[in-house]
Amino acid sequence: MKNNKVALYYGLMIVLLILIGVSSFFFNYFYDMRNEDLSIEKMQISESNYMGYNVKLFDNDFFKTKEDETNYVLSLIDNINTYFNINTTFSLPVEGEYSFFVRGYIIMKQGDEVVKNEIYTGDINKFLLDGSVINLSNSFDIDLDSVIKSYKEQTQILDIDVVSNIQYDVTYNYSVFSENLGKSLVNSKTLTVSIPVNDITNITVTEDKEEKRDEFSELDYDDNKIYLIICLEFLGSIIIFILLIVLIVKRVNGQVGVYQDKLDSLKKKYEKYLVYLKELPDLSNHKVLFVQSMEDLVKTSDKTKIPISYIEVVEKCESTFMIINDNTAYVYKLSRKNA
Amino acid sequence: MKYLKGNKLISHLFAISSILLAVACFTITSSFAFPDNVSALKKWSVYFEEVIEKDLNGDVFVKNNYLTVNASLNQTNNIYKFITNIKNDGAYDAKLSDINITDISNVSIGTSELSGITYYLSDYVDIYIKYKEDNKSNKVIEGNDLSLGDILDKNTSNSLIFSVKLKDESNLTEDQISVLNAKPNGNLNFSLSIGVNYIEKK
Repeated sequence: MKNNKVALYYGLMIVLLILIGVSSFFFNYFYDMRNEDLSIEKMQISESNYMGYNVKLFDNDFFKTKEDETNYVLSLIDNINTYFNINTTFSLPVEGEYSFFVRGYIIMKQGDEVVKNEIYTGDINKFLLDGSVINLSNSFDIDLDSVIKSYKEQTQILDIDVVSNIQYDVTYNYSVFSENLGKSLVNSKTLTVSIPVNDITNITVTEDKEEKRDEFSELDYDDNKIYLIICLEFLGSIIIFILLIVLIVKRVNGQVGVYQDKLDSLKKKYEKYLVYLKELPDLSNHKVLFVQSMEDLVKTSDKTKIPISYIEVVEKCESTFMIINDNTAYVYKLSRKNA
Repeated sequence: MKYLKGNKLISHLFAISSILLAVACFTITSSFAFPDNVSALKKWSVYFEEVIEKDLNGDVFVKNNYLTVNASLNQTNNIYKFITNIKNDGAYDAKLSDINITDISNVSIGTSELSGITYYLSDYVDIYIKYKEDNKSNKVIEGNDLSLGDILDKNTSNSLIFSVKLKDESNLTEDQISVLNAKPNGNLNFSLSIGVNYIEKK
């Protein structure tokens, strides 16, 4: 007969070992993450831009668009009307401001040397934002004829041979705060229209673009303590699980130890009374009387002159001592429970 | 008694370790769980559709929310008109914040030989942008000018009539008329760009 309690204890130890394994895994996992940022909020941001231009030539009353052609005789260009659109869309509302300004430059290159002269300084245009969308469309004119005249005068005076570019930059910035993410979002973008100073010039603008990205919230210094707390909790669990296993093992062994000692002592003390049985006899036809102690059984043996039959029913767990007299059986059971 | 004590200790320790594990799991789930309703990115999309109708004495190029107009006017054909829709098929209601038109007071038409005065496009033409139809949801009224602050709700399209009208000769000086007549065939050829900027309606 199996001792169910022992089986239960062994089962519990297996469960505890599994829990130790799982807790160790999580302890290690969060310990490795202790210096990392962990996101709990996510925001998607879409950013797009396009730029285009219309060219007014001296010998033509009408605009030529970017889609018509990009190569022009530089000296025939009167004016370039440049337009652009920049859009930033947030998936969660933000608050802050955005701005743009236009700057014009003549960039001169001679060998490895590059000189950038500012020829136009536009105002900084600022706007407030309390929502999810920044949509910015605007235009500006490049009086190219005047710029080229001024540039040629300068280069003639300096008498230098350089490779030059006329470049107008539209610089866009935003600085917003997201309550959901608990942090500021900042970005900057520059759109450029570039006109090489050549007899035949090829006007280029920043390519149309559309991109998406994600932004996440960050845990601050105090939040990083969460990792340590979690690690300590798992560590505490692991220690307690180990303690539990130790206690259970001691308990199981302890019970076996106490029982074994008692059994050995009884066998030694009452050796002369004992008859060792190979198997448990059938007592179904007997009246079974359980006695309280071994001493009671010994007294009965003395009175009836019948030896005490002994068998260990469950090894290291339960033994039975009995005196079978006619139809009566006097039985004393020794087990881990009552040892 | 010892047996009971031992069992009690085991069950107490088991209870403490279970509580520690439960607290750890709770901390993890409450600290690191993504919220149930992660907002999806909505689209912003406000733009001019392709021109529906246009007069023959000109052409229009449409790029997103910009129009480039090339047209020719004279006393016989004194108006250039075209119709297009401004459409909002994004997920946000929009409000008109800016209308960018070429500064026609800077577009030179010609210089009078008599007076030496240079005249500009603004001296000769008027530009009109009006709604073609009522749009009750946006409170747009037919014939009203496109104005700053006009609303364009999501999933809405408003038809706009753009017209550039040559001023009547009675509103021009003789000097101005002479500059105009000096043009080949008396045609006033011009280009302008028209851009609109909508922002999120709050």
